[in-house]
Amino acid sequence: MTEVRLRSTAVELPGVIASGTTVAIGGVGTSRKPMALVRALVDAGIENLTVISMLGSVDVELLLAAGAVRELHAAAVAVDGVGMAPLYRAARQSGRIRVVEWSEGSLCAALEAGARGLPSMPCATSPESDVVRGNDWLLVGVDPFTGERVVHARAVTPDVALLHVPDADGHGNLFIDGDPGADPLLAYASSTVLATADRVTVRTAREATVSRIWVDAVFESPRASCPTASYPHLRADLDRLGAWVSSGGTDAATLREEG
Amino acid sequence: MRDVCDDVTVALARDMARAAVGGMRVMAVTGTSSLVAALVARRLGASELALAVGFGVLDGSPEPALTLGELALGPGAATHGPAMETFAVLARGRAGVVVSPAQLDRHSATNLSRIGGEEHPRVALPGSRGLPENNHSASAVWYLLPEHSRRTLVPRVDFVSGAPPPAGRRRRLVTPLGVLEYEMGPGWTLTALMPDVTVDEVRDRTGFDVRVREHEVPTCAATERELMLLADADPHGLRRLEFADPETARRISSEQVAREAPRTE
Repeated sequence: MTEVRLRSTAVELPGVIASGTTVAIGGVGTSRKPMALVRALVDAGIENLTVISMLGSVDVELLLAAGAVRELHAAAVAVDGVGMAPLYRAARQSGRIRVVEWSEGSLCAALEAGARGLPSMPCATSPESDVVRGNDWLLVGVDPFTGERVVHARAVTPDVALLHVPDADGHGNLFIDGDPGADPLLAYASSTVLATADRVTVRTAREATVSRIWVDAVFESPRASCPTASYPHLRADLDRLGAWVSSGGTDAATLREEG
Repeated sequence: MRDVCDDVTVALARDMARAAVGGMRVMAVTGTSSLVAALVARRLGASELALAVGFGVLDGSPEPALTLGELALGPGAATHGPAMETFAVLARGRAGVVVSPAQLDRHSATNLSRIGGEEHPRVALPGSRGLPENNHSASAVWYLLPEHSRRTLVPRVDFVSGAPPPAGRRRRLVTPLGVLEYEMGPGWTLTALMPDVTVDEVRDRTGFDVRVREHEVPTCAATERELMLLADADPHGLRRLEFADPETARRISSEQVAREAPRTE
């Protein structure tokens, strides 16, 4: 049964999230990042995380600022529409943490393999891309029927998925009206799914982007995505995002503040 | 005074409209310039061209926006299909996509991951995104490079995000200097020049060989009508964001953010 917490003043993390877990973060760039959930992780002092954020931005930056990341998986991290993500850039250039680069297609294939209970899945990523060379979860195999070279992505099954959606209903169904990114895949592939929603309201269940059967807990928490957007309820706070980038990642208060 | 950004956007729009007439159904845009170009393409005869922003979002009456978290959602925009549909549309050759890699090379390989360095990048870029899938796909790919120089157009990319397209696939490059077309074998051919640009300038500023098919390369300047369509699609000039210097970009961005702020949902 999905736990739906109305008018949450605080998001509570279940005990399953401990140091060393693999956390997947939904959203796309500066849209629908579950910042309140990420702050809760940081506040709880959880560290040594393997973080998966396909198209990351200030979610990744906040975790890097807290020193909570041991390993990062992403197809790209940038503060879209503003500039490069300073701590991500520094982390990659220093080699301080392990950063594994994926492509959108290969990471989606890895999550889909996880969701389907398969050991791996082929994907349309070019075998000649250097992303394949540098990623231990990607191998070039030979298709058993045609003999052609195809990239295979090893299954990824995150321990926890953190999502932010504009709407949820009282049953725990999640509704995304804009770009869903890979959020449904994250929900299918992850063992525990936590979500914040700007509002809990009545919606047509048939239109749900993620069915309640995948969701463990939803917290009604307006502005939980701040400073990222949550269409149609919340616009991205470009001033705050810009301040973060301009500070070179030194002004932690910019991201630590609630919405 | 002529702004080359307008000529570049219109050149891209014309190409998109041609491709749409030739069967391209969905245009995947990745920045304000490519969104505006697609909106103009619709006004240039490709009225049915669908717009994809990110995964699984289409259409409506998109207008360029900066604070919605996506480029183009506005009243009337509709989500359409599951996220995986994006990959299907791309693989089946029904899409067009505009990308802006940091580097592009003589074999049309793209790089959005890193520049230089050995084990660790000397300069880290955002990451390869969808380039490892789209560059060799059957769909149309345009490279939109706001900077045409030997820094961006290199003999070989430092990192292969998108691998060289196979034989038979064409790729187009649009920059403030002109329009170039790639095909395996012939390589890169200059097909049009922006106003007041010479073939020699293009060759000087390109890090790989550029063929010229005819004695005179045509100039692609936006017509008065096209400039009007451009102003209609992008009244506040957001297309300039990707071409402007950082200070101008900040000003354009702040003005637009202020415009978007009072309109609460």
